[in-house]
Amino acid sequence: MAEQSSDPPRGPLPDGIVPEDVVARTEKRWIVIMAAMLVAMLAVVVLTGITDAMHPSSNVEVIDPTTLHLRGEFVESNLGAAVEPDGSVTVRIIAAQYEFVPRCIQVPAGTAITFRLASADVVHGFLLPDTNVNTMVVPGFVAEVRTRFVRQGEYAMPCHEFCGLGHHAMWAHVSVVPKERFANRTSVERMSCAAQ
Amino acid sequence: MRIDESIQSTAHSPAHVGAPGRVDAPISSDEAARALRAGPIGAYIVAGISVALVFIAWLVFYFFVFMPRGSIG
Repeated sequence: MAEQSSDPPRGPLPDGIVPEDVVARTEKRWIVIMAAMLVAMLAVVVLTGITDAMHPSSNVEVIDPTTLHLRGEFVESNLGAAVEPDGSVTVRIIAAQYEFVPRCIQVPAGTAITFRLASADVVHGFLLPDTNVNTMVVPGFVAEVRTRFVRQGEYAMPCHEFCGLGHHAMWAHVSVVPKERFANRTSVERMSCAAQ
Repeated sequence: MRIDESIQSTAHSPAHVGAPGRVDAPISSDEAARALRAGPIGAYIVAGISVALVFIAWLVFYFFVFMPRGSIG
């Protein structure tokens, strides 16, 4: 029970106790602050997108998944890392239930890398933790992601799209090595860890 | 159903609820009007700090987590 008070009678606070001009001014200021924050966030995204060539990877390129192993760029002898004339490296990988081919890919640090993947059967995922590399590998299309590794070392490469009962065992890795070490070997062969 | 009073919310108690004819609101209309003449300053400060923290957290994640992971295209 409430205690009896000797203060003047108190009732519920009426609506509109905050002056209307204060409410209107506050709302306008809040809208300006929100708009400024949104503009700042968009500016950050757009500017870093331009300066760092950072944008969602998108590549629409069809391929026949039933003939991957017979002809075209995804035949077995062409899989792995290949050095292009401009010094960049293109890595070609096939994803199939339940493995990536090749299972380990060697690439140089500090070099423009283009990953090109194709699926031979169902939808798979291509993800390199601790990097922003992340894409789906949809059968019938070539998935392409461009990046540049700053840190040397081993990157796990799990399939991150459920692809069947063996999905949990479908993973490979990318080994990022110094440029010099990579350059010594690429003139004669496609690079995968099997050649180590 | 029996309710253990010690764990009940006090949100319904007269000291926290204003209602027509009730005479036990914690502050009178005049006092409230004086306090709110320039708007609910405390609420502005709480909302401002909260929004600022979210904005700063976004920037920190963008520049110190997302960007160091390397550009993609």
